[in-house]
Amino acid sequence: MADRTNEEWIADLKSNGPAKEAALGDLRATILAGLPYALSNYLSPDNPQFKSLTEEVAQDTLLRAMDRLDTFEGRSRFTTWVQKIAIRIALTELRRRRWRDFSLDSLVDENEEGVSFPSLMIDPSPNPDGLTEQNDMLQQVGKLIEEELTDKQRQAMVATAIEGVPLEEVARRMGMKRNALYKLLHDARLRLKQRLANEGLTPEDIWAIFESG
Amino acid sequence: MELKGAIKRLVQRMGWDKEDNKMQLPEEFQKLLKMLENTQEVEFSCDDVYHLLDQYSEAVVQGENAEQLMPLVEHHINICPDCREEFEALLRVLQASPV
Repeated sequence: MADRTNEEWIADLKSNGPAKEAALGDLRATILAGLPYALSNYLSPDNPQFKSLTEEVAQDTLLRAMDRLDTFEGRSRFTTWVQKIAIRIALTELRRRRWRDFSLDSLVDENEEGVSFPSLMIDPSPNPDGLTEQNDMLQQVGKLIEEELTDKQRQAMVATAIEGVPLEEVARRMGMKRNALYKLLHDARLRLKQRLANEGLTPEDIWAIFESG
Repeated sequence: MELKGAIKRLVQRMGWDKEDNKMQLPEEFQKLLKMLENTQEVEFSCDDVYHLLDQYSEAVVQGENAEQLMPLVEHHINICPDCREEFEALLRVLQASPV
């Protein structure tokens, strides 16, 4: 495979004819060489799905990279920029497959007060004496969360921070982009932090109380 | 709201202030607190981070002090699991074929 500078990559990919074909072929090989490392935590090359997934990812990556060629600013090696695109495409697909059967509705407790923060309430304490007060406290925090956050913010927070659902998948189910979901969550965190501050508490205070007694 | 008092009473009842430190804050509550602790007024969004991720990852591989050069990227990937996974994946690729 030819070693190219960033400028040579761009020039070849923007050309017509054999230089372009060669560059596309080399880029495709580069993507396919990187994917086993990129996906090592998710999908083994021995997995029967591996080959078809990576072929598909390589193809989609080439299309997207060609489409966005003019947005490459040369802040990294060109191949790193392309690997970044490949990883986004591959992990998006793997997340979609993994969470296919997941529904946001499974997270919420519908009761007379509407949607609650269910996972904060269930913690069977081994200490029966502490149980009531523990619940009291959690109820209070739950109330604070209920007052400050919208249903959407609450749902997103439980799904991502507590259930470990990828932002990408929660965003898809909420009909928004991952970037917008991050901003929604950021706003929710800021509101909660502010409310705690209004109650005279910082998160650090609470840790300190629990750590030192 | 007597949140502070409630927490204190709870701590005492649970024996957290004694030797037995086995009693844990509910995990969900811990996660929530950690998250709030790490919350900043100004944060990068996923798109901001994606824009810089190739440059950031190369800096990490080359042993430059990427966290200091791009603290907002560092902050975001510590909060956002999706972006963190993508960063770690890119890092593995770059480490396999060094810059």
